[in-house]
Parts: sequence; structure tokens; C-alpha cells
Amino acid sequence: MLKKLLSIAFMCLISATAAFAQSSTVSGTITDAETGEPLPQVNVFVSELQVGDATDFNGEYTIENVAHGTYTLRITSIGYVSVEQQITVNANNDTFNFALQADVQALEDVVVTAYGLDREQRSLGYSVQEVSGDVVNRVDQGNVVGALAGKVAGVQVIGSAGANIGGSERIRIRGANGLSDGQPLFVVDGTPMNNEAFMIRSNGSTARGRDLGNLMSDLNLQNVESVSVLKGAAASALYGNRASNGVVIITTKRGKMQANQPIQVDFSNSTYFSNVSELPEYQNEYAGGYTQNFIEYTDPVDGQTYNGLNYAADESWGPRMNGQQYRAWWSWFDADFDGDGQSDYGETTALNSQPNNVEDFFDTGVRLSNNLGITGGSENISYRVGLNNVNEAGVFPNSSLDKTAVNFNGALSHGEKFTSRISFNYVNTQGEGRPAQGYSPVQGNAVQSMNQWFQRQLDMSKLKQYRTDDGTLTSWNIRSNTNTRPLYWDSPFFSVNENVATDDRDRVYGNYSMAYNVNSNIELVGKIHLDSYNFVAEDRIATGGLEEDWYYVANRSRREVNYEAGANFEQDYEDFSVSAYLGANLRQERYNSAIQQTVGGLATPNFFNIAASIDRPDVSSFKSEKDVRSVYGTATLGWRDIIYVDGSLRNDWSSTLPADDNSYLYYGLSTSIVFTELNAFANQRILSFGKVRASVAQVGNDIGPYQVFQTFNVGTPYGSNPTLSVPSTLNNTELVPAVSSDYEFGLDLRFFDGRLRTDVNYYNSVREDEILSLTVPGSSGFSSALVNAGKFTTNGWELQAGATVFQTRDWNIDLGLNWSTSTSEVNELAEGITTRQLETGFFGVALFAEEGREWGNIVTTGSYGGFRIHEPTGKPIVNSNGRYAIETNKDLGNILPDWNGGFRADVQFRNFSLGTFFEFQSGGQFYSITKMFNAYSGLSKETVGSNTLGNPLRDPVVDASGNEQTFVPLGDAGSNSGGVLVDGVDESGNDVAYLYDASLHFPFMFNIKEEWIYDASYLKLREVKFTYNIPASALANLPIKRASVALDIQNALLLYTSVDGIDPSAIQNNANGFAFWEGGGLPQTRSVGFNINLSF
Amino acid sequence: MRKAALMAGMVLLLISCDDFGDTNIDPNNPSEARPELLLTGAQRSVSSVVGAVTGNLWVQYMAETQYNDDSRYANSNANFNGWYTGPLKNLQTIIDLNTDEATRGNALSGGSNANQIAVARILKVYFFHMMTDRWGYIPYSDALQGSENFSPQYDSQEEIYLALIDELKAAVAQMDGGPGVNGDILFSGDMGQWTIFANSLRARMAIRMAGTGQSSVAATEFADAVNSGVISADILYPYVDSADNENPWYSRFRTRTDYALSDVLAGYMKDLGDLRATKYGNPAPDVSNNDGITTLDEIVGMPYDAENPGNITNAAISFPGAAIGAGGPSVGIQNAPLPIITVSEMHFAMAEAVERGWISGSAEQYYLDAIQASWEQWEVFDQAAFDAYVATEEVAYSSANWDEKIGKQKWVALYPNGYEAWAEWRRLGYPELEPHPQAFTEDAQIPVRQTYPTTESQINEAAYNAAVSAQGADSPSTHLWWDID
Repeated sequence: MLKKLLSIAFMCLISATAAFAQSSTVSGTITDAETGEPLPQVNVFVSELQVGDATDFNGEYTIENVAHGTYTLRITSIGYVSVEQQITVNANNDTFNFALQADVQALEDVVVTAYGLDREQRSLGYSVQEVSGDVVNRVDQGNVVGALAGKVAGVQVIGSAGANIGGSERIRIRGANGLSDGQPLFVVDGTPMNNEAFMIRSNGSTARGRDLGNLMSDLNLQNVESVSVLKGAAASALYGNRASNGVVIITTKRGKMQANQPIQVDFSNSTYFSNVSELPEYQNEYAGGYTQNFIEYTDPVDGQTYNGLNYAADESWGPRMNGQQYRAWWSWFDADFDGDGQSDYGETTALNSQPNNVEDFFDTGVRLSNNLGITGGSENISYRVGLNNVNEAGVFPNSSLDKTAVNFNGALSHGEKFTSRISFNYVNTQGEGRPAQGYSPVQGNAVQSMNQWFQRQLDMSKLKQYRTDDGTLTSWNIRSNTNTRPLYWDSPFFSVNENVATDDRDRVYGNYSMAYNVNSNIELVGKIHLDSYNFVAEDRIATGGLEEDWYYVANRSRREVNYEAGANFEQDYEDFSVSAYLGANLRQERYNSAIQQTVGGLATPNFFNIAASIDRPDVSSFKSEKDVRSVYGTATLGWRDIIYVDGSLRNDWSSTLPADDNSYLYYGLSTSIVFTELNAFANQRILSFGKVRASVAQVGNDIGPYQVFQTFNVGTPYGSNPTLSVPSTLNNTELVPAVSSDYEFGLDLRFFDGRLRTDVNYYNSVREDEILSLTVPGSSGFSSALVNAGKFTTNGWELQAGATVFQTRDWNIDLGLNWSTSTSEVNELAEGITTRQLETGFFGVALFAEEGREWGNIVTTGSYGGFRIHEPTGKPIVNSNGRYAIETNKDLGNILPDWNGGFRADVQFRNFSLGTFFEFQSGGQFYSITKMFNAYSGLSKETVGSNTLGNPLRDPVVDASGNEQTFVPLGDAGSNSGGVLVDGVDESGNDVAYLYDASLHFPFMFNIKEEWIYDASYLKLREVKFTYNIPASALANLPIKRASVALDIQNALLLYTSVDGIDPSAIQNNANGFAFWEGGGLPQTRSVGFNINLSF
Repeated sequence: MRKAALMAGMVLLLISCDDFGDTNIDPNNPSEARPELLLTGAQRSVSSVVGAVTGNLWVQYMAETQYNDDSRYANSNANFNGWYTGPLKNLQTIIDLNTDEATRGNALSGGSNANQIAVARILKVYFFHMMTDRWGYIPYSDALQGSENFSPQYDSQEEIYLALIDELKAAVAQMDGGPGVNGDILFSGDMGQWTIFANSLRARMAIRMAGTGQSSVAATEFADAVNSGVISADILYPYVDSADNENPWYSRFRTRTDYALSDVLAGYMKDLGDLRATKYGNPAPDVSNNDGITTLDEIVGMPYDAENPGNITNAAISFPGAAIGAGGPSVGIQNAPLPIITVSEMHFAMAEAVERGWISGSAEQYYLDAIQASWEQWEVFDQAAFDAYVATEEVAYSSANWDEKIGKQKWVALYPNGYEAWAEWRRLGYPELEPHPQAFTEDAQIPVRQTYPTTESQINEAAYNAAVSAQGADSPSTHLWWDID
């Protein structure tokens, strides 16, 4: 505020001065230095006066009322080098003409490619899309994966709901990456980084438990200078086998080695407040129970009979809420629930709706982030030190995340020839109270209960009193009035406050490199890259709840070291330029884990230690080693800045493949032609830059350790008898490396000096002989076998477009679009096998890859199915029992989107800027367990309302004679009949319709999975940021060079979705799933943040 | 100089590029197996047969207290893959280790080669028999061959029965006088008991085949099995007071109360004064006097056909008994054993065999012995009560309708071995159970088989299609070979 006042005062002062002094009208013409033609739309600005003008079509500008004096005149135009010049205005001197130099650099963006080689974009024969740190960080994000959503064409991000604090986010580059849909390689300043995602499993299942997040969330985004996404094989051939799913290259900020660099200190603070933004729509008419009558309970204390609900029911098909007096669950506990110091036993209360009870469960999340960067340099030294702390209290009660990062980037020149670079990063991440997710994890899933199995009349303030004064646990879901042990659910606050998981991870990564300049053409480099972590995750179930008390601890550590040596060569000849790199790499991965948990409960209540295990604790230790050795080379040949040809070759030897077949060679070849350099394009001003590119490449692939030789599994011992079993996966000593082959074409066009930009890309990728764990008939003795098999094709289009639609002295409006479409087809699986199950969801739904179809079909399994359709009429068949007929093994659609992307609109007005970012997706199906049980248990809004006769859905179904029925044909229904309309055709195609009792109909629909499949299309205003850059003039008397304040909103608005209450962009609810189902997951949040950025 | 060192380093790297030594040898899992450890592992799977739920619902031993989908046959699909990849594969590996010249020497840690093979064969028969009685045709002769055969053909149930009976005989015949098997949690390596177990299984299978075209084989095999010696003491699966080897009913009632004793069984028993009901179920809290002695009055069955089961409170009904492990913490018995094959069952089989003319003796006496053995098994035998019970018209033996008498009493006695009871109910047709009124099956009847795992029609398509065309539709209503109406 103070600064604003100062700046206003300062401006007033200037105007006042101007009014009294002598003044002139300053004018002039701006031309192109090369052609001499006048340039329109050039900004001319007098910094000191904060006045200016834009040139007209004759390149002329006029600025009136300029007081005589000396000023800095700033002339800026897209595609031209900006000019800042001191001018002195007096009566004789008021015309200033300038000739602007075309800014070649602007059209020749430098991007970072494999092995940190900076390359001019014009020389690349393949598609690399770079996102600047500003764009990645527009809104302060916790996870680099989520920060890329919509910002790169061809990238799909499946996010994690905001309430899942620090949850896993999944990325797909160019459709499904092979049958197992692998994740890309992340590289930070040349160091390959682990991005595994871990969870604390519950009941041994990968689909329930606590999501500990993907490990790339360790990256401090505030330090990011830029992110390059290498999408195809040609771009990534140099990274070896792990690059077959694409590479995300991250460059962090660093200092400049240049004499007399001032020390720059950057500080930023952001404070975010988040709230739950998406919840299913609930009904608020009927209370808990299975039928609409009250249940009469005899109170053993006073012997009287009272109306009560069916407390044991975790559904809401109970009585209509009309304010009737009844005994709520808490009235059967001799305890104080309302804080008046009196026992509430025996109290009756009015049965009223609690429309906000679920919302009331959640807190307002607060995230505080502080970031400090110190940058400096001299002739021989450059450095940047970064410090970052993020402290977040989640919307989910009692959840928090704390992240502290320290990083150092430095360079030292040792004399003329030697340069050392060092990058060191330490990050500590601590999570506490991460929510348990998925279907009925033993730790308790509060959100699952509230969205799937609950009673709508429950009052959260009563549930919060989950322990009485004497320590007895209370729950709404008591078995009866005299047996208050919970049946299915503890109080949600019990699991949230007492079953608390903690995790703590130290991550150290970085590299040291030394370069030696042999001469001006040859440079030798040696590098060591390290990425390591030590990760402890603990989980607890407190004593006394529904589940047996339990303690779990998982220790994991991993280290990857890459030793690299190489030589760079560069030489320019008259028309030709040559650059080449030759290198060798040794990669060593070491992993250790020890996972222990108590069995049979804790010997001392709430003493959480493995030593407390009543029975022999369950302990498993695991370690693995993997080495990969590689040699590789790349060379680029350029001719007159017009044609570039690029080739690369690599050979890997992997320790995980059979010894006689562990070597694989692959290549990349690409070319780029900048045709606008040709004479034919010389005399036009429309197309400023044009390039065609083409590439073809291969990447080889190996597998994880220990999948070649047969071993035995150690099983659960029986007393003192240990056990062994034959693993259900058959290993294979005959495996060979897998190969994927890519080709792509691209066209990069820029018009009107870059004010309109498009880049189109087509790619095709074929993977053959993938190493698959193929499902085989169990009767063979194995459930899966490792084989080389299959053919998998992905192809698609990517489009990037940008436009500077409006630009004046005060205004700048810039738009950007990313759009992509892809298809991922399974051409063939193994011999005799045409289907492969990829993942099973809960309750009879699985994800399959089928030969000849697109990857990722949702198919029902077991006795579950979809609607059986009468082919001629296309209508669902309804059996004479009033139920939809079920077609088992029904294909319910594909999970991959048809197209997706992002749209950016940035508006700048003087010192104000407004950035908005939209993300969208069309198509892709998912299975919602939340919606399914929300209806099953009578919680959802669709289970109330009026039926086709205009009567309440939940009223009894009655026939014409007024007798209650489970169902009646619609034609025979009484005029006052309730019930849900079930209509379709019979087996012969005749229209039939029934009214079915609602409390039986919705549970039946559980069997028809098709009902719960939703289209994942969405349009979302993902980021909005409003920034005010405090004018330099206002800071003149302060030791601050630059300052800005900003207000931003994350997940501002879900503008379009086909499903209510669920954000289809954030359904990743466990660490490693393919995100084809949702359920028991957490709600999405909206965050509003205040940011301050200061530079000293 | 540095350049030269670097070059030399790179050359060295290249020379040894493809040799990684032992890097890919898994340090986490043994490369070699000790057969006795495989045997213990395979035997643990017997618990999954005798402690299974589904059969108990379908023969209406139990009712579901809330989510009654299984009682309504919503999921008659069942996955057999786990039996193959679990116990059967482990047992096959024991046989292989004891057969292969290269490994049979080391395998002696598990007992003599012949004895280990014999035990593995008998257990394989036990599992395969349970499987074919659930699904009918299953892969048998092509099964367990690993990568040699990833498309195993299905064998007819008739072929499987004949082969299994031969296996049992061959296994007994090949036992030698060498050391008994180690790691044996059922019989502690007592080969005599394995012989008796094999004979008893053979008698069980022979009785099942009684109505088929192979009835003469059944008669011969049954008489031979009985002559060779069948069990005289119940064979029970021994659970342990430890969470990882506890009774599965105990596990199920740890946090939930999904099952109750069904009124179909409880009502039938209470009417006849059958004291076993006091063990089959726990007292219903609403009617119990909590004196620690359970009387028949305190047993209240849960209506099997309740339209809204959730409205019946837990306090009003009897959970399955503590004697089978159920009832919840502090009630259930964590290590309560469950019957694998009982003396009672053998006596019922002999009563039937007399009626069929396979063996001599008094059918009625065998029948009464069977019932008495069952009362003794559940520790409720009281001479007066027993005499009164067997004197009731419903229980009293009648040779004219031996199938109904044996059918009903066998049904009562086989509790809680649901799958065995379901098989005998299908074969004998007694008691006459009413299907659940809200049945999910297309014919609204109780399933008479389980359907194949979904994956079979996709990844073993030709074999699956051949089996379905030979056996009949892959539906829960298709009758098995021995299920003659």
C-alpha cells in the first residue's frame, strides 16, 4: 500500500513539473534497418514520464506535452531488437527516428535437448517443446507433472485431487506408451531422476491405501528456468532405453560467469487458501436406514420405547426428514456431545437435514511457500543458491506436507582451459496424515464413507466427539442401541486423527562436471550424476477402533549414479557447420527396502513399534542392482543455416537381460530445412520463418532386475514351518531387448514477424517385441509369463499455435494453444493371445488391451456387465422381473482421450497483467465407484425427486388396487405409485416399462457397470493470475529493484464436465494405476493465492 | 595425458561391456526350493477349501446379514486360476524335484522321494476333485506344464474322476518304507494316515459317481477303498492362535458381521431337538440369558429369504458358532479347526453303499453311526437327547427313501464344509431347498455349478469353446456329469 501511495505521489509530481515547464511534441518515424520500410505497431515509450505511443502504418509516432529535458526512450516491437536511448528534448530537438534491427534470436529459440546440449531450434529435425519456468510456475504448483498439464502438445496429465495432499500425478506423452503405458524419463540439469510413485498399501492391494506421491514432486519448481519435453525417439535416442516414453528435461536457474555481475537476491512468498470445490450432489430428504420406517428401541434405563433410526445401516433409505423427534445415535452414549457438560444420554432430537455435513468435514487448506534465490558471478565464478520451504496444511483434516529444499548451482573456471560445474540439491519432504484412499482400506477412508456409505442426517459436530471422557470410542454406525460397537464405520474423525501415517524423505541429487577445452573446436567433458533418496513411511491404526491396531514401517533407499565421459566437436566451414558429440556412460542403480508390519495387533495399546507385534511380524526385505553401460554419438551437419542433418547412434548393455543377448544398438536420423532462407521467400513480409522437419529413430528397451531366472517366493510361515511357493509369473531366460521405432514430420511456420506462430507435427511410433508379463491361462501353473511379444502403434497430431493479437504501447494480448490427438492401437499380442488385462478395478471392471483395438478398454468381468441391447431397436432389454438384462464381458469404452490440450490468454496493460490458462480434454471414459455407491446407498440426489407419474421416487410402488409391490408394469401402477422408471424393450423388441422400488433399484444398478461409466471430457479454467508489477519509479528510494504482487487461483472453474461432483482431470488416486476408475478418492480443491516477488 | 587416460577408460569400459557377473542373480528369493517348504505352503491352501463361504450360502447353512448378493447367486462366476498357480503348481514342483535325476538327491530333505511324490499326488487329487465338482470340465491332463502348454485343453469330468481315482491308488502303492514327509502340518509325516486319507477320498469320489455310467467302477472302488481302510477319526485342518494362520471365520468376524446362521438350517435342527445347533450358531443376544450355556431356544436363524436383511438387527439373530471360529473377537475361537473329511461323512457313504449293494452291512446302523459321529464331532453327544432325536419321524431311518434320509442328515452333518455339502445336495437332491426369491440366476434356481473365469474365454479360447460345447453352456444352471436328476 505504501509503495502504491509513493508511486502515485511520484507520478503526480512529474505531471506537476511537466505542467509548469516548457514542453514540446516529440515525434518520429521507425523503420526496418534492413529494408528501410516503415514499421507499424512499434511501441515508443518515455520511461520517466510513463507516456508513449504506437506507430501508425507510416511508422510514425507522436507524443505530446513532453517537458524539455533528458529522457530514456524505449522502442520495442516483436521480432526486432529493442532500443533504449537517451534523448534530450528541447525546442529545437523533438524529432527522433530509429531504424530497428530484426531480432534473429527471437526466431531462433535455443532449446535444451539430450545431454543438456543447447540447440538452436531451427536445426532440430524433431519436435521439442520448451516451456519457460514462468509458464510452469505461473501458479505455484507442488508437482512438476501437474505443472505441465495442458502446456505441452501431446502431453496428457492425470492429476491428483487437491485434497490428496502431495498425491501422485501421472503423465502420458503421445498416447499410451506401450502396453504397460510407461512413464517418461525426467532429467534435471543432466541428472536422470527417479519418478517412482509409492504408496502404503492396504490389504495388500495396489488400489487402496495411502498415496505417497510421485518422487518428482521433490523438485523445487521455483528454481526451474525451463522445461523441455522431448516426445519422440529421435529426440531421446541419446538417453537410452528409458527415453522410449519421452524425456522431460528440466534446466534450473544459474548465475552467469561474467565480470562484475551484481549480486541479485530474489525473494518470493505465496500464501494459498484452498477449499473443496467438487463434491457429489447429495439428497437432503431422507435419513439413514434401509426402509422408511423408524425403528422402535426400548431404553434399558427408563424402560420406555423411542423412535430411532437403523444405526447399523450405512445407507440413507430411511425416514423422510421432517423434524420428527427421535433418538440420534449419540443419545445411546453416556457422554457429552454438545459441550454443555451434561450427558446427552436419552435426549431426543429433531430429524433434520444436514446439507453441508460432508463439506463441513473438510478444513480450509493453507499453503505457505517462501523462496529465496541469490545469484551472482564474476569472470571466473558463477553461482546461484536457492532456498525453498513449502508448508501446507491440507483441506483433509489433520493432513500436512512440509518441504524444504536447498540447492546450489555453480561454475568455476580454472584458468583458460578447465571449467568445473557443480549442482547440488537437498530436499526433505515430510508428509503427515495423508488420507487413505480406495475401497475400504484398513486405515479407514473417511471420504469413502461420506460419499458411499453414510447417513445423510449426520451432524459433523457430533461425530467430532469420537471419544467420550472415559476414552470410549463412539461412532454413528453402532450395532444397536445396546451394542455401541461400530458395525462398518468408525467415526471419520477417529481414523483421521488417530490412524495417522507419516513419511519422511531425504533426497540428494546433483552432478559434477568438468570440461576441458582442447582447442576452439574440441571440448572434453567428464560428469558424475547422482540421484539418491532415503524414504521412511510409517502407518498406524490406533487401538480400539473397528480394525485391529497396527503399525507399519517401510524403509526404502535408492541410488543411481551415472558416470559419463564425452567429447564435443564443433567446426564452421564456409557453407557448412559440423557439431558432434561422442560419449560413454556407466549407470548404476541400487535399491534397498525393508517393509515391516505388526501382525495380530499391538501388545501395548497405541505403542507403535514393530516390537509390539503380538504375532510374528510380517517382514520383507528386498534389494536390487542394475547396471547399464552405453556408448553413443551424435553429429549435426548444417548447410548455410538452411539444411541440417542430424544422426545419432547408441549401444547399450544391460545387466538385466540374458547374458548372451544383453546388447542392443539403435539410432536416430533427422533433418530440418529452413525454407524461408531460400531466395524465393526473400521479398515477402508475411511468412517470416518456415521450417520442415522429418526424423526416424529407434529406441531399445530392457527390463527390471531379476526377471530372467526362475526363483521361489518365500511365503507366510505356518508356526515354525517356513513355506515357499512357485511364483505365479514365469521368468524367461530367452528374452531379447525390445525395440520401438518412430518417425515424425513437422512444419514450423511464423507469420508477420512472429506475431502468429504455428507448429504442426505428425508422428508414428511402433513398438515391437515388448517384454511383457503376459497373462496366460492359470491352468498352465502360471498366471503370467514374461515374453517378447506384440506390436503396438501410436500415431497422432500435435499442434501448437500462438498469436500476439493486439499490441500497443499500453496493451499486449497474447494467446497460445496446444492441441493434440493420438491413437494407440494394439496390433498384435502374443501368439494365440488376443487380450491382455492391464488392471482390475473394484467390483467387476477391468482394463484390457485387445488385439486390433485401441489400448485401454474398460470391460466388465465376472457376473457384472452392461445393458443388454436389443440390436434392432437399440434399446436396453428389460426382463419381466423389471430388471435390466445384463450383458457380461461388455466393452464399455476406451480410457484414452480423443484429443486434449490447453489454451492460454495473457493480457497485459501497463503494469498489470492477467494470465488465464484453460485445459481441456475430449473423450476418454472412466468408471466412477463414488457415483455408483452414492446412488446404491441412497445418498445421491438422483435417488430422490419425482418419477414419471409425478410422485416421489421413494414412495412405495403400488399397483392399481393400491397394494404395495416391489415393482409393477407402468401401465398397472396406481396413480400414486412411487418407484423408478425402468424402461426398454423385451426380448422381442416390444416397449416395456416398469416402476421399481427405489431402494432396490439403485442397488441393483450396481450390477450394470455401464451406468457408472462417464465421459472424462472437460474444460477447465485451471489457472488465473493477476499481477501488478510495481513501477521501478515507485521503488526508486527503496533497496528493491523489482517488485510485484499477484493474486492467483488454481482450479478456478470446472467449466464443462459430463459428471457432477467429480473432476475427471484429477482421478489418479493411487500411485501406479492407469486412472481408469475413481472411487474412495478425494475431492478436488480450489486454491486462491497471494504472491509477493521481490528482487534486491 | 588426461585425454589418453579418458580414452583408455572408455576402451576398458567397452571391452567388458557385456559381462555383468552375478548382478542379475536375485538376492531376495532362493533359486532352489526345499520340497518340504513347498508342501507346507500347499497344505495351507486346504484352508481355502474348508473355510470357503459360497457353498455355505448356497446350501442355506448361512444367510447374509446385509449384502445378500451371494445368497442371491449374483456372482456364480469363480476363478480357478489360483488353485493351479498356487497349491497345484507347488505340489507338481515337489513331484518334479523328486523325479528329476538332477534334483532328487537334494530333495531328500523332504522325506523319501517316493513318499513325497505320493503325498503330493494325494493332495493334488484333493484339490482337483474339489475343482471339478465346482466347474465340471477343467484342464487336467494338459495342466501345470508351464511354457510347454499355454493353451491347456479341458478334460471331461468323467475322465478326471477316473484319472484321480487311479492317482490315489498309484500314490498309495508307491509309498515306500523310507522317511515320511517333512513340513506336513496335517499328518506330521505319518504315511499310514496319508494312506487312509487317500482311501477316504477315493470313497468320497466313488459315492459321487454312483449315478453315472461309471457306477460299476464306483462300486468296485468304494468297496476296495473301505477294505483298504478309511478314516476312524475326523481329519481337521489345524488352525493356530496367530493372525496369519487363524481360522478364516474368525478373520471374517474380526470387524464385520456379514453372516448369520440361516433359519433354514437352524429351524430344521431346532424342530428336531438337534443339539448340534448350539454349536453351529452362537446365542442370539436378544434372547440369550448369557449364562454361558447355549440352549436351542437361544439359537435364532436369520431368514434366508429376507427382502430387507439390513432391517433385522444383529442382536436378534445367531451368528455362526464360536466352534467354527465365528462370532467376533472374544467370542470366536481363533484356532477352531475345520473339518476336511469326517468319520460321519464316511458312515453316511457306507450307508448309501449298502443301499446300492456295493458293500454288505446294515444301512441303518451306518446311518445312525454317522449321526452319532457328527454329534460327537461337535461335542454335544448326550445319549438321551440323541435317542430322542433319531427316534423322530423325520430322522428315523427308512430304507425306502434312503436318499432323502441320508441327503437331509448329511446336509446337517457336513456343516460348515459348504462346497462338499453343495455337491452332495446337488447329487442327492435333498433337502429340497427353495431358491432365494430374488435370485439373480436366469432360471431363478440355485446354481448347480460355477462358471469359468472370464479370462478363459479370451486367452484359452479354443479349449474353452470345446469344453463348453461338450459340457453345455458356461452357466450356473448346467448340470455336471454326476449330477443326475
